[in-house]
Amino acid sequence: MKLLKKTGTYRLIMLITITVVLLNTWVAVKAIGTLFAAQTWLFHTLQAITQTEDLALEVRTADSAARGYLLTGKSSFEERFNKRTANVQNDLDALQKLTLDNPSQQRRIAYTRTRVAAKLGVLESAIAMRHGHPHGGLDPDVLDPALSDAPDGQASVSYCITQIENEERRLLEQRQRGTMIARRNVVLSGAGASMLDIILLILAFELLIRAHQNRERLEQSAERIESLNTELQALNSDLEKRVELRTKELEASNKELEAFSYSVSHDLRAPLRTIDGFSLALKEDFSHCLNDEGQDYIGRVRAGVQRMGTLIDALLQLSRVSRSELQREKINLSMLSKLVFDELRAGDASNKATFTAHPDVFAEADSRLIRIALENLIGNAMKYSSRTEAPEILFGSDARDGQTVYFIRDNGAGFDMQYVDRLFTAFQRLHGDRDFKGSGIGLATVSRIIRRHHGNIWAESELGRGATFYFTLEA
Amino acid sequence: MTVSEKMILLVEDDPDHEALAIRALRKSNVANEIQVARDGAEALEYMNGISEGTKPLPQLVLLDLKLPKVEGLDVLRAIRANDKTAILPVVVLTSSDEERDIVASYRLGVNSYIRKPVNFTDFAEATKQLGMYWLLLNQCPPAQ
Repeated sequence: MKLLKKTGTYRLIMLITITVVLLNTWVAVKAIGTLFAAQTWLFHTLQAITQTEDLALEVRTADSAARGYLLTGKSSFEERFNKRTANVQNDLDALQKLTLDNPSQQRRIAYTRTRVAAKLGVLESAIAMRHGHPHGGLDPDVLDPALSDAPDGQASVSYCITQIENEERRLLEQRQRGTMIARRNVVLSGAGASMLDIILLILAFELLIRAHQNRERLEQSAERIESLNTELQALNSDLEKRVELRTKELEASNKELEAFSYSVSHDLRAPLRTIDGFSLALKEDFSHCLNDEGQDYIGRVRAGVQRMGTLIDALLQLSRVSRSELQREKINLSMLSKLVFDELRAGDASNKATFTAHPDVFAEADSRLIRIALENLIGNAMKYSSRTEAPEILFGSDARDGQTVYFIRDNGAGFDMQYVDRLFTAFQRLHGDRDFKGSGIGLATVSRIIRRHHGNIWAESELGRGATFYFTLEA
Repeated sequence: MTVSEKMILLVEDDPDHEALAIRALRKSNVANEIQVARDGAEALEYMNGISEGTKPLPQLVLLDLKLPKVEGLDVLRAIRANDKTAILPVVVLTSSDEERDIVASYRLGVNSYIRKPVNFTDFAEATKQLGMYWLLLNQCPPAQ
């Protein structure tokens, strides 16, 4: 989107540049044209001036040739006069043609032409008279006007010509000024256009340089990205290898753990059974040899063995909970908890607890693992409420922050919240064996089951007022 | 090698457990002759003896799973593979309650799987019921 916008801007700049350059060219060409026109006019005026000067010269020469003939009577003078007269006519014609654009000059030339004709007429009359008087004796009436500048009292020919020349010189000056201005305009427009062009060129180059720099930067970024990509790929493959290795290690350690659990279940139990079996044999076969103290000792030996057996079972269950694969299915926790309670109640005739469950509490969970968790939690609730007057156990669920929270509540001994952190750690107990017997592994097992479901487990209690264990089964 | 002898073969590597098992059987008034194989190899040897006719066919085999040299499950497999002992009642008596052991045992055709309880009173009770069931109540297949 941004790139497209930028391309549009470049196009606009290019269009403006072309327009400005074309305008510049047009102005410059126009100025040069004006200069050419001015110079043509200047040349034209100069031609007219030359022609005027030529005319004046021819008139003067014709005049002097006429005077020469009147003085000497030599025919060469008369020939020169005739030739000059023709020249004067030619010059007048040429001048008239040159000043066709100027009506005032045309008028002046027309007037001059009459004055020239008058002058030349007088001179010709005088020359004709000289033909008749080869030895002098010329009529002064004819001679005087021929020798005077303005015989009829009107403007003299030279004055007329000077008038024309003055007009042309005035024009010349005017046109020289015009030419100067045109020349200045050419210089100015040329310089201005060049300046503008140079500025535009600089701008264009600046843009080009920037675009180039951008591209270089982009290329550098691309190179960097590529090298990062390569690095990432290397890291990825390294990671894959490491994951593979770890998986293999994990599989190996899992197998080791399994072998260990198997040995524990078999090898640790075997000597225990021996101790138990022979202590029982002692009691049964040799009780007559033992006094009360001896009998008590045997009882303690057998109780120790029982306790060890319970511990091994709990440890095995803890390790099995970690190893077995999680298979989620829909479970009616209300029914399952009631079933678990009934079984536990059946196994302990002395327990007087009553059990209530919220109806139809469902969960997606591994039924085997959840059963173990419920066995431990309900078993605990029964155990720790066994000294209460009317022990009550409640299973239910609550919605909290969009999550289903399950709980098991009792009204038993409870515990000090100060030690709540130690609750879910293996072999940590908050009550001595003297008060309530236990392996210290049950809640660690429950916690592991909940964690395997990506859930959470926590507890709230007050000493002497019962305890509530909460858990979730979703991440 | 007659059925009337009603001999029991106990495959057990632990001498303590052997003594306790025999005591429990005796306490339960099982007076049958008890032969003992002390590891898997010895048990297999005994089976070979049956095939060759040099050893008597037992009425019941009490088999531990975790045995030196040859595993109990391999012994069971050998018993079931042999025509002469294929239908012999075998009871696995072990301290393992690993599911895979239970499943494997039943797959190999065990007749019963009993986990040795730690509590010896319970064990004695289990042994007593075992003896009652397999030796008195159950009709064994006729000897071939």
